[in-house]
Amino acid sequence: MAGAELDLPLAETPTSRVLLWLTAGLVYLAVLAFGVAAVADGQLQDFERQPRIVTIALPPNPEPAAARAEVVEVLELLRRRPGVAYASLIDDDEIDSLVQPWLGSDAAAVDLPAGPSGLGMPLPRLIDIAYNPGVAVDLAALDRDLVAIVPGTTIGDSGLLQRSQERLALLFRSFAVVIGALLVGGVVGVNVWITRLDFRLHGQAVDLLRLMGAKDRYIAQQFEHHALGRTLRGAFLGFAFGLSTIVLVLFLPPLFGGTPLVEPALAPVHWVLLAIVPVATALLAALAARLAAHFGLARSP
Amino acid sequence: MDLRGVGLRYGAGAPVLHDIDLGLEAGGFYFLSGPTGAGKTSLLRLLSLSLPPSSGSLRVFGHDTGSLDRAALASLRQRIGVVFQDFRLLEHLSSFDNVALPLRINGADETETASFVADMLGWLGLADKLETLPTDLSMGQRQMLCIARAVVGKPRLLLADEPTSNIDSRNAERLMNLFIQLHKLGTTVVLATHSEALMQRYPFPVLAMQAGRLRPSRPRPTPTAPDNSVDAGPGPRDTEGD
Repeated sequence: MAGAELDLPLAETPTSRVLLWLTAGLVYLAVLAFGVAAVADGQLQDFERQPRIVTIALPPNPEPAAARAEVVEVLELLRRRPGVAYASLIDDDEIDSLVQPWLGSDAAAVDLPAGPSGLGMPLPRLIDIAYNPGVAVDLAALDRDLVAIVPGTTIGDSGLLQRSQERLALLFRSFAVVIGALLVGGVVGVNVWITRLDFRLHGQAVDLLRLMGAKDRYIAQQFEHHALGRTLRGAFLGFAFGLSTIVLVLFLPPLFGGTPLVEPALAPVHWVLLAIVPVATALLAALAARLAAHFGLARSP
Repeated sequence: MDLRGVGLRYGAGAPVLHDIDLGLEAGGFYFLSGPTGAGKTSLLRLLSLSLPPSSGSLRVFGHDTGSLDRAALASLRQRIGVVFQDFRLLEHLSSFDNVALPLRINGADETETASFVADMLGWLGLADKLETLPTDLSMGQRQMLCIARAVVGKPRLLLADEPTSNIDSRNAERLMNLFIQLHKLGTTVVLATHSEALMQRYPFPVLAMQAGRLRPSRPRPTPTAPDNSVDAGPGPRDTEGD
């Protein structure tokens, strides 16, 4: 095996071209899948960097003493929970200012039973909870604990919305990683299939090398080098197209004054991981080809 | 090389070799003869360790091949040169690379390989064909190339299946001289042939096969060629030839 020329005529057969283009197509799709995973991961990291504010609403309680006791108990509970930076009751003036845009400045004249608000309305008591960045907030558990103290307590929509966005990003990331891994696995599978096919196509040449005293390792390396060369070329081709697509989707619309289809939240590590995809794919494919060749050789006399 | 009670069958088919008992002396020269289908090629395949015997024992260079692992068998094969009837040249490789293949497989130094292969091809009259693909060579030249590949590694055992069938008498003579030269250097040569003339011309024992069995050796005919033709044979490094 001298220079780039292999002893076996593996590059001379149509399977070689099939390997190149199938690899290019599968790696293109894999890069897109991992690109989606990277964007989702970027969004998740973005969520984790922001302090999370969750607002809870305790239902109105006409008994001032009982209402105060409830608030104290809830605040104590919240301040004991891990990751809570602070928890504070929103004062009545602030609540008034929140509802005035909807009810108007003469809302006090509305004929409703007196509540905690100066507006004379039975408004809920609101508590803001700030979580430290990166803390995983279990809203379901929080909801259970709060309802146990004050039945009817609700968690503000903004907290739930952020949670659902996080879940969506997590789902996208997991799904895209699985799809990307399956596509890389597809490249490996294609290499195994083509190696087995080549093994049959070039059986006489393989036999010739064996007769000259080539050890299994030597022959298997022929298949490995062929797979590595072809898969690397195909993978870089697919990677180049995949990367171009990602860059177009992330950066082209803003250049023309449009809004980006997704927020480009890719960190340098994401770009590095994407760049690893073709190399890792080719290495895995070469290893698979080598093992497939060894398997084929083990069945020969 | 020693075969005891060796039989061979391909898959579940009928046996093609039966109960072969054969001892080949190290450094001997043997003709292997017999009609088509007698089992010559199958016997050569056994001797080249291409196939294991279906029964009996086969010892090569003092090793019982049945007890060797794949790597050890490969090491033994490195000491065996095979000339195929159908050449089996790798058509995507140049003449040079085809001949260099056994040396490279054996891990020979590339500079030595280059020099040795060039000398060998020069001696065989293919000095100007180093970079030529086998498909661009004549049948005779391909035969020469196949032989060069078989002998370039100075094998201890040379197996040749009808090596003179595709070349003219002048080249056949040169070829026999080469084989005899190798034999004199200590290589065991087994040459399968149909040619009665060839067997009558050289004073070597004949292993006659028929229907998958070895027949008792026949008496040696009187050689028709002068024995000094053996000495005139050029070695691999003799670039002038005849």
